[in-house]
Amino acid sequence: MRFRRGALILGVAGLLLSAGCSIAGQEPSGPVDSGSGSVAGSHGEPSRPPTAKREWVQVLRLLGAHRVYVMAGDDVLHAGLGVIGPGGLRPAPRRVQPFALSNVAGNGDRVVIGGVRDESDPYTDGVYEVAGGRLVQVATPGSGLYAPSVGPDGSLSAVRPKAGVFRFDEGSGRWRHVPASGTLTLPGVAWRDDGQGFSVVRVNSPRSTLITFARDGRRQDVASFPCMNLVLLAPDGEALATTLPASVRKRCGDAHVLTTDGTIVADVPSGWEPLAWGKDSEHLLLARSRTLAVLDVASGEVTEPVRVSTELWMAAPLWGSPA
Amino acid sequence: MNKIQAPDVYQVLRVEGETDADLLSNTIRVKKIGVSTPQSGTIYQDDVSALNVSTSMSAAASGYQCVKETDANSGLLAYTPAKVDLSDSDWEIHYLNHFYSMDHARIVDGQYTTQFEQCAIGGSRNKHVYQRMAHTESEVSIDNSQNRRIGSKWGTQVDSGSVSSALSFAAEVGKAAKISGSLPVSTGGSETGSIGAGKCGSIGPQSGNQVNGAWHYTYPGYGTNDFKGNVAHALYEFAQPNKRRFYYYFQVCYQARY
Repeated sequence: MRFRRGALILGVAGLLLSAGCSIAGQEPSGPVDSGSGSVAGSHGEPSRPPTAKREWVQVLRLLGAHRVYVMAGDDVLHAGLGVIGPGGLRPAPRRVQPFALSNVAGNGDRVVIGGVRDESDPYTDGVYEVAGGRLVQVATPGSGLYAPSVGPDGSLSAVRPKAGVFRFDEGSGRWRHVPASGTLTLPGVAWRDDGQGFSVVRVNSPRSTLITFARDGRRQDVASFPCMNLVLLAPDGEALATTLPASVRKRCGDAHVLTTDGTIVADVPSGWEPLAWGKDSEHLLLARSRTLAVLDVASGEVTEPVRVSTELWMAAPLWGSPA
Repeated sequence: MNKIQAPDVYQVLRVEGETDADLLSNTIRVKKIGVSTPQSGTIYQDDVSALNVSTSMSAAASGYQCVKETDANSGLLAYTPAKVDLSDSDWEIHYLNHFYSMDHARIVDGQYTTQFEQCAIGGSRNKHVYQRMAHTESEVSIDNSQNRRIGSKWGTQVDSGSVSSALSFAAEVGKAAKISGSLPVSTGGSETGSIGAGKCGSIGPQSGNQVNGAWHYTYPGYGTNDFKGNVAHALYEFAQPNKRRFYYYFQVCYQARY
């Protein structure tokens, strides 16, 4: 990707601010964006495809995606799984809608979620892949595996409190501990195609630190930035976007785009939260207060914000054309 | 406490308290209790220490409990229950509300969560010659304006002489964390439960957090002199705090008929 740190320019917010810009107007046939503040429990499966909307198509084109799975809901602890398509934000179909959602991640081809699939015991997460229009269980509830992610090669990883990182061995069907991650309590992990992993220790604290797991098994601190939560690795493996929970943003500042050696190359516009990288590693999907936009990292330009009826917390694009 | 004399009048006993658990010492104190003060009986314990092993709770006067079915290293913390333990010559009400919490319960959007469970168990009995109990209920909630409830359960039937309910929740890998309550009662009437405002009324700022467990006699004009009750579980989830501090509500009510 090309970096040019400079002024970040917000696009015209006319659509957001214009009179009569209702959620219903954006998504006339969608049961999700009904203003309920959550997509959980809506379970709508539209009888006809929603009409494509220019602003949503633009978002998808910039990301190089034909759809984006999102964690959506005003309360992060009661969020549901939504899907952004050319017609806007809609709930994921019932058969892939978990009872409680805690994580959405992917590599452009594969999407995994962490969550409670059914309203039944125990009230803790399993790991599921969204595949073939259903949730395929990869780790059982109670396995203690959280924050699943997908590496560039399609391999699955997850973290376990006080036990570091685990990778899923497709051959044996077992989760295997990554020794370099030790007994760390991590918020999640992002893998580069050379086998190097990135994560954060001391999350949400003033001393939060980006760490890497080297191929040789060593772990090393890269750089410290206040209040980091997760890091999103660009598909080309050259850049990371930091994320900060809204609760700490006021005292910790805003998110950044970093090189993998921890150098800040761009600031994310104030108040915006990175959700996912575009396929070209040059665009970042951002969310802020029921709006989303796309940042061109090199130029600092942000597209016209698009309004949604609920908060967006995490996202996993699937590469392709929105048309 | 006034004797129950008029039909269809609920006596409501309310406990509003706070468990304040220090992460290091694992102790709690019930700091604040506001009740419709009874004239007799004990309605709460204050300044009590947390219990690491729930079986120690057998000291509860009523002899029933919500048991923590897990090993000592599961990370599940148990706290001394709040107690409603009242009796008169004509009636008796015994309820215990147990508290459990688990840190690192889940990771939601990169942040760890804490789960907090209330398990209220108990019941009532009417001993009056001309009265019959028609309803008894326990209700729990938390002092939070957002809906933090992620789970709820209550007993629905008497099986082998007991009404029981169990709720499992997050635990560190390989370590079960299950809270179960079992209360010996006779058959008759119905064991039921609900979410939101119950028969005792509404507690807490968010109705979605309120969970009620009840025994009810359906047919008007009848009731029982047997001991009846139920078990109610409520499971809540929060972003993991630096210090555990759960503000809870607990109330019970009882109805008798002539």
